[in-house]
Amino acid sequence: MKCNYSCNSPDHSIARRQFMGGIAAGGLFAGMGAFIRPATAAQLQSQQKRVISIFLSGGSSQLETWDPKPKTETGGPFRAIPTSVPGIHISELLPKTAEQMHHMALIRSVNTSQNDHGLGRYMMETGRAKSPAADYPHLGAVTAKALTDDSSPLPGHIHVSSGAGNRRNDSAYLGPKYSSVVVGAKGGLRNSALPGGMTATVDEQRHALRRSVNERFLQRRRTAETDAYTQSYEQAIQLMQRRSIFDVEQEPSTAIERYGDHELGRQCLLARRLLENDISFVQVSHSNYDTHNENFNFHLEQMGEFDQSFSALIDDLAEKGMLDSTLVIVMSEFGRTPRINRYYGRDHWGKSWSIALAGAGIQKGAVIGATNKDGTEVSDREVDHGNLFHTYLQAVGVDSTGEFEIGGRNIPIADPAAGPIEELLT
Amino acid sequence: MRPNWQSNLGALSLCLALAAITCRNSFAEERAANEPSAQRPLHERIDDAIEQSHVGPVADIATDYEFVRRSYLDLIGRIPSAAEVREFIDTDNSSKRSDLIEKLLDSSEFNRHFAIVLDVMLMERFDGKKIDSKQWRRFLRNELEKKSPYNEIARKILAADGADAAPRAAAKFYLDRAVEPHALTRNVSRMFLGRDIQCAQCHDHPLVDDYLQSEYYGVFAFLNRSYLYEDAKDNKKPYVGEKAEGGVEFESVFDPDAGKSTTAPMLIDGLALDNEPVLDASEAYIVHGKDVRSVPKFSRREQLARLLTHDSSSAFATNIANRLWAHMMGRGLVHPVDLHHSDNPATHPELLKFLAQAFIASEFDIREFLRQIASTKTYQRSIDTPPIPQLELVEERRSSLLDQIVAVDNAKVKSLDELIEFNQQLQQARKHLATIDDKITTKQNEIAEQNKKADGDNKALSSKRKQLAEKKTAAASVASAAAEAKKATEAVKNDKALSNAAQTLQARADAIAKQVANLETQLEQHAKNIQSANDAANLLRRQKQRLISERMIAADLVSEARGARRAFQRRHEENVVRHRDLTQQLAAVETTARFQNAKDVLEGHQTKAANVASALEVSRQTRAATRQNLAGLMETLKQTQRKYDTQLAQLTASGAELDQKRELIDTIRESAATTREAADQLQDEALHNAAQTLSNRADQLASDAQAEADNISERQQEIDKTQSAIDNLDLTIMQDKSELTELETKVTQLEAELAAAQTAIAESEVAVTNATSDLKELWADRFVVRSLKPLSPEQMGRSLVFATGLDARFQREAEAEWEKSNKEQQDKAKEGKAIEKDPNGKSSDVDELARRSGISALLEKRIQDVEQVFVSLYAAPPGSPQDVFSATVDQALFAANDGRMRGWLNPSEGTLLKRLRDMTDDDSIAHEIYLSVLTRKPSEMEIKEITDYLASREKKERLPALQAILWGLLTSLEFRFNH
Repeated sequence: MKCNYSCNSPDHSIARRQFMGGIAAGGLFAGMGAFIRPATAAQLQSQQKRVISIFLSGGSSQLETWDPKPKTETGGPFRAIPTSVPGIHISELLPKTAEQMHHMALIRSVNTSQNDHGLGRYMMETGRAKSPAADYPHLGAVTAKALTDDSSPLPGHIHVSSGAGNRRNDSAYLGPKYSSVVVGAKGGLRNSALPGGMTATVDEQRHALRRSVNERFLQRRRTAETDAYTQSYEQAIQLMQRRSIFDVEQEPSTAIERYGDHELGRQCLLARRLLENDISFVQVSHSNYDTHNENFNFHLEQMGEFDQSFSALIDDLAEKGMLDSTLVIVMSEFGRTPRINRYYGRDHWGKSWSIALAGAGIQKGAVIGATNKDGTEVSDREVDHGNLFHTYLQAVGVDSTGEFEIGGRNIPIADPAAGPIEELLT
Repeated sequence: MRPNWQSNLGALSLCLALAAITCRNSFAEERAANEPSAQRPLHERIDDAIEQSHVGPVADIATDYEFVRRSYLDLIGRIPSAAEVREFIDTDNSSKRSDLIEKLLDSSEFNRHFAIVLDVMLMERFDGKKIDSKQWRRFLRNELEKKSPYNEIARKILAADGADAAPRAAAKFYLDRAVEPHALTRNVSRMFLGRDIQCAQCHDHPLVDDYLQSEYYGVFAFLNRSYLYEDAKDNKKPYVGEKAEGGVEFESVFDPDAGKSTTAPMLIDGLALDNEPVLDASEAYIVHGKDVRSVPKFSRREQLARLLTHDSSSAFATNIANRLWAHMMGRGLVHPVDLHHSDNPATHPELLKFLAQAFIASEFDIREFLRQIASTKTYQRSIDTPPIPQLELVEERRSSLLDQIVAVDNAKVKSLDELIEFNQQLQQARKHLATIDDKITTKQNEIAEQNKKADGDNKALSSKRKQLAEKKTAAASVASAAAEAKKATEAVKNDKALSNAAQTLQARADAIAKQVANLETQLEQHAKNIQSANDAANLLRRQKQRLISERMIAADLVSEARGARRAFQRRHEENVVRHRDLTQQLAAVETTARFQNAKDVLEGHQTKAANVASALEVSRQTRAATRQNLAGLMETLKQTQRKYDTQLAQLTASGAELDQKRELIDTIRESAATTREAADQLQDEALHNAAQTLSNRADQLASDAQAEADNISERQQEIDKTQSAIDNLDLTIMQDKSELTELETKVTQLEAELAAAQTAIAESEVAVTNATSDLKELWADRFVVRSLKPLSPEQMGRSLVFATGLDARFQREAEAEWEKSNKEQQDKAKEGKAIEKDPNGKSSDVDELARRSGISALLEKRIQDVEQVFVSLYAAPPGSPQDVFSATVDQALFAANDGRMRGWLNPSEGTLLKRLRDMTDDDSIAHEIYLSVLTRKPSEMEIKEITDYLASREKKERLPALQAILWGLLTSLEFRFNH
């Protein structure tokens, strides 16, 4: 096989050509809107797809959620209840979620063999084991890069948190454009409003001055980088005009009631609001599931919140017709030990645990894999973080076996040593 | 193939003699040996290489304004202040540019800036926090201040284990990566050899032919014995430990059946560890044991530091030359800078090779290298693209390049053949050496055999001697006993028992004597054997000695053959590099030709369109005339037709009248006749008269009718005339109409042709636009026009400080902070004891020095805080390549709305805004702001823009107005890019 780096890659020169074609068609500043590159059919097809990942931080228990083992030594006190899919039972802590099971799929045979919080989280979020040799981008960064149109003013990768924060460094080689922007259920998006004392008129005037200086410079030299830079300012202006999409308080109070009048509820609602506005990836985190003590009491409490918000989200997405184009993921850094410790807790467990998926290209009502009677081992169709990562991407129409071209370097989109769970994809 | 080695020794020696001229040159010395014009300064040779490989004019030299901005940014990491710009512009001196380069390279700001450049290059803003980043930068800065050669800095970093206090920070490269051998292998290869061989960890690189798994593990083998040691007794202080054992084994994930391979420590240049001592486990360590940092006697990591930075490591020198070039020029000759391989060749392969050699020859002097680059015209070119050369010129160059490529191709084939031959000769020489070695070994074995034999005999000899001595003693005592017994027998006669005993004794004595004799014979034999074995061994030794002399000659031949091979290898490599160079030039020429062709096609379409358009115009005019004419004819026809109709109507009416008249005449005549008949019958005169009257009347009427008939006949003729006019008109109109139809068809056809031509023009215009942008990119990539280079985050932050005059504010704050803390300290000191006064006043000098350095540290901290804000927003994520540009919305949101940005634009004493606010003359304001922010004078238009804007705002809004102007300039492309 031969090299196809920037030096002589036909793909690269075509991309450059398309870009320059954009210039030719667009003229100078008047043409900012015409800057959109001609999208390929594949890109168009996947343009409408989105992903929401709900991260149960600390490591939720598979036994108290998706893979209950009632009446076994390891099963704990809770029952298993039937769901809207005959034959599938989940923990009784998730009664509302059980009603949504016909939209969902479960994977009960995850083995990541990683019991460290940070390393486990990294594996689940990037699809790779952490290596000091190289850093890998977050699923959100990959999704944003693959699904977001370059001309969109909206950030493609958002983490919903309690308050607005700085951008995180989680995009590795994909660059800061795809790092997660932290948006708060309170406070919306940082720097998206004019500073105090600045009037709209003065704001327009300063941008007019900026454009005018630029226009003169562009008569001397124009490159892909100069366009990206000027475009970022125009996008910022557009984003400021649309800043209300980051404001969950714009949602009706009935919606807040439906999702739950608590932080997780608001975060899920904000997430849906963002997805509705064509943001490619949103992550919501729910803390804290690290239940070394009192596993059952904690799960009883936490799952109550989760059950309401999550089932409302699935129901709402389905109602709005968005579920077929939105992948919903519920993951953790790992599961919890089947063995119950002396403090009625469960400890870290990466060997045999579960995640849940719904929407987009995921088979409805499917269950992949199984664990043994006590849940101590995967007994069927073992999968790992690499398989899951490929599966998420393929579910939203991204060819996860392809490559990104970044700064003249070709980089595989997902771990080339792994592949998706084919039977889970429609 | 050379089947008979001996007979070809002579030929080989001859070849070796020829090759000896070049074979001793190292990579670094090659330049001097091969280049006749080696005396020309490096910067001129760079310009030659760039200009000669380009067809047509290159970009102009940039203005003094652009130069001062560019060199400040590249060499000291910030734009010049307005005062510094003025100083440079006002200097009237032909050497002012080189003087400025010198001044900047000598400044302490250069050391500060280049410490950042090296840090970002080696760590890519990754902080593993094992070594404090500030200490690491201080280490780099100290090295730069000491003017350490780059290879020495690299060697310190690669040999560092954190144990030596002085360069402990140098161990950051290893320690921050947790001394993980794969992380180190990847980053040592990337940062120091320019090769990202990460993919080759699990298999040969799928996309790059040159990157082999064995190469990865060759580097890995230097590093996999190293590990992170954290001292439990000292707060887990980290060090690099190293074991004395551990090899590498690897298999390809693509081909696991092929089994495991192994490799010795080896670098891509073929530099390998060939002197690794084999030490017993007992003596392998300097320090070894439980809970201590292991230190081997022979450290592979130290060997890596030594080998990798060696003058003969061309990849090392090439990598850093390319990276420094990229720092100055905005792009590497090889780009991306960590992908040196044969399918991603340099834009100017020969130049890159030459730069690497020059860098080695300068003893890795970073400043000298930068000085040379900054002095080139290439560095000083404008960003305005030069005109496109004529096609003839391009074609001429293309055919010349094609010829050269063919020639080099041939030379390449030849040099490869030679290389293969010398490879074979080397192999044969090695084989010959091996044969001799085998013979020597055989001789040694034979000698050993003889020695063993002699040893055996010797042993037998000594044991038998012992036996003999014992026997002799026994024989003597038995003989004397026998003699005594004999005497006794003679004395005591007939004692049977005694006599028997005597006989027995005698018999024993005889037997023993016989044994002694026997032994003596055997001893003689052994002695003989020993002698002959020794003789044989000596003979063998002489033979071995001869073989050893032979071996020395053979070994010499091997080393000469190796030298010759190296020389031919170098010659071949030269051809390969030359070939690549020419191929790259050809590719550039092809792009220019593509542009020319696209332009020709466009012009062809344009000419055709013009012709079609003019033909169309003519046809349209003819059509218009014809139409007009036809319309006239139609009008005439219409009138004529009307006339005809009128005439015909009138005629018809007249005809009817005439008919009536004629009927009347007939009636009158009938009545006249009847009357006449009656008159005749009646002979009535009156009736006769009446009949006559009637007849007369009829005649009169008939005459009238005749006249009328004549008239009608005349009018009939007229109508006929009108009719024929109509017929004529009809004919003409029909002709005109068919003419018009033809014209219409023609016009439609021409219109279609024109539309097609215009579509073709539009398409060609896109092709020309593409080809133009390709060409401009290519020229920028080939350095004939300056490339636009985004400022690094640090450059942005610091430039913002110097553009806005924030440094003045920071200086004041730093002074205040220092005074405050100093006062606190003095107060504390006063509490303790009165301050001693130095009679010589030296202490005040020392105080002043401390004060200044204290304040400048506080100032620097403030500037770095600003830099840090930009790093967090504008830098690529830590640990990934930092030369990838990205513009994000949150950067723009920050610039537009963030409170910090707003704060930096507030006026205070000494800042730009304060100066501007104090100015009353709008023209001066425009000049001051452009010079401070964009390092140039404003154009008339720009002055007017500012004047108009300020005039449009009310007096009390002057400050926000000035802030808006300043913001517009700071967020402009011209500020964002180094141009």
